[in-house]
Amino acid sequence: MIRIKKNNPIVPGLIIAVALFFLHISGFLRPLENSLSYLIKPIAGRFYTAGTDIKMAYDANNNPEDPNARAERLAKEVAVLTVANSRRLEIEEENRKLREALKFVSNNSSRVVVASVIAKEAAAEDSLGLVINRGAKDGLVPGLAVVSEEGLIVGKVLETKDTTAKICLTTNPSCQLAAAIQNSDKTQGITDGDLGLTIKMNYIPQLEKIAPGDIVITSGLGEHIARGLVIGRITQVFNESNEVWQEAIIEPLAELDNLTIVSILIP
Amino acid sequence: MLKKIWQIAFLILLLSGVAIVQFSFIFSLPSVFSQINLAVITLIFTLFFFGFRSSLYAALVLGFWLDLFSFYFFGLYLLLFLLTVMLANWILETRLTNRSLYSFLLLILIATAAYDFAAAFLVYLVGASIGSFFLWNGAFWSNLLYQILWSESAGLLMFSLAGALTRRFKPFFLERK
Repeated sequence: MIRIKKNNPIVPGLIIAVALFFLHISGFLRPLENSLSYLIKPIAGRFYTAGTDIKMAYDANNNPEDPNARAERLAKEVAVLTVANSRRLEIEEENRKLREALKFVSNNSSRVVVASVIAKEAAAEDSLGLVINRGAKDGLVPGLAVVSEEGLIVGKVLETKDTTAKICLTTNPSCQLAAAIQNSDKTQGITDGDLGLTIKMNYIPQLEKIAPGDIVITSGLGEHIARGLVIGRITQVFNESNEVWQEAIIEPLAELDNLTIVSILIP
Repeated sequence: MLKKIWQIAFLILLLSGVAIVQFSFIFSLPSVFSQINLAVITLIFTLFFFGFRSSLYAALVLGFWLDLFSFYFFGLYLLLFLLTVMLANWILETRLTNRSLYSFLLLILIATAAYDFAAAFLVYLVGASIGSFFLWNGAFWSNLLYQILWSESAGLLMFSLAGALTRRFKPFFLERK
């Protein structure tokens, strides 16, 4: 029989742990938790940014890209983007004139909440997520789109607490988004993260024409996510003639490893 | 009395710092360095140098802070740290005969492994894990290896520092004159 000595610290330790657990469950600890969280968030944010800076320097040092190749690649990208931008401006102008002619009321009334990443959740190696310094009190709910500083979708809100929220990245497994490919067929499907590195899009019918280079955007079929947010670019297409579906590998356009500031779109 | 209150306040502040560094700084470092388990190293250090009672209270403070930030169920880290400290104390009291560097390193090794297994098992049990069962997951084993390597290195450094600051753990010999 196990005997516990009178002055054994296990008993008060366990009593405190159980008391903390029940006080948390019952909500009595909530004011204290919120105050501590409010107090600590700025410090945690600074620590996270410092860690990310070190990570960026380490990555740059270990995977240096040839400067000439990089300049060539960027020059090509600039040329493509310049053409795309001029076309966009034309379309935007045309759209504005048509809206005026039709007296169309804009429905683009989404609110943007800017947040800092303050921590990375990593108790288990396969359930990574980022913790941001905004929560339910700022109007966040699970399912909202999270975009980078460039306006590219990088993930969605998974869970919220009063003052913080957990987001998943588009490359994380089970972080799914309703997506559409900008091709002639306007193919729709669901994207899912793949090993934390790339994004997969499955269940695309064989007859749909998709090709590397096609841009993938959100389809707007998700409950809280508007249409048109860029997810990434298709890099590989797997279509076996004996398979019913084809699969596409999407490369995210945003730098997901070094995110420190994100925006949450509230429709 | 006032001195004791200040001491406790200072220790709580120090442990809070450890928790924030672990959650915000270490996890955001490159993957090799993000495996440093500062919390477990701190707990074993406290157990070894300040006793079971202090390490148990340190586990409560660290567990509370990490649970505050975490999106797993509240109490996960509290439970993990308490179990780790209790196991480490049991080994220290019943299996290890002295408080040498080797004992300290062995204790860190066992505590780190026990913590990792318990954490992966609990996360799997509550369904927060989305991959395969952790034992069949290569990432789990490589992370464990890195964690043990980092923890042992940190343990070596901490023991050397503590040895330089105190004479408590210096070997001594009884000589007949």
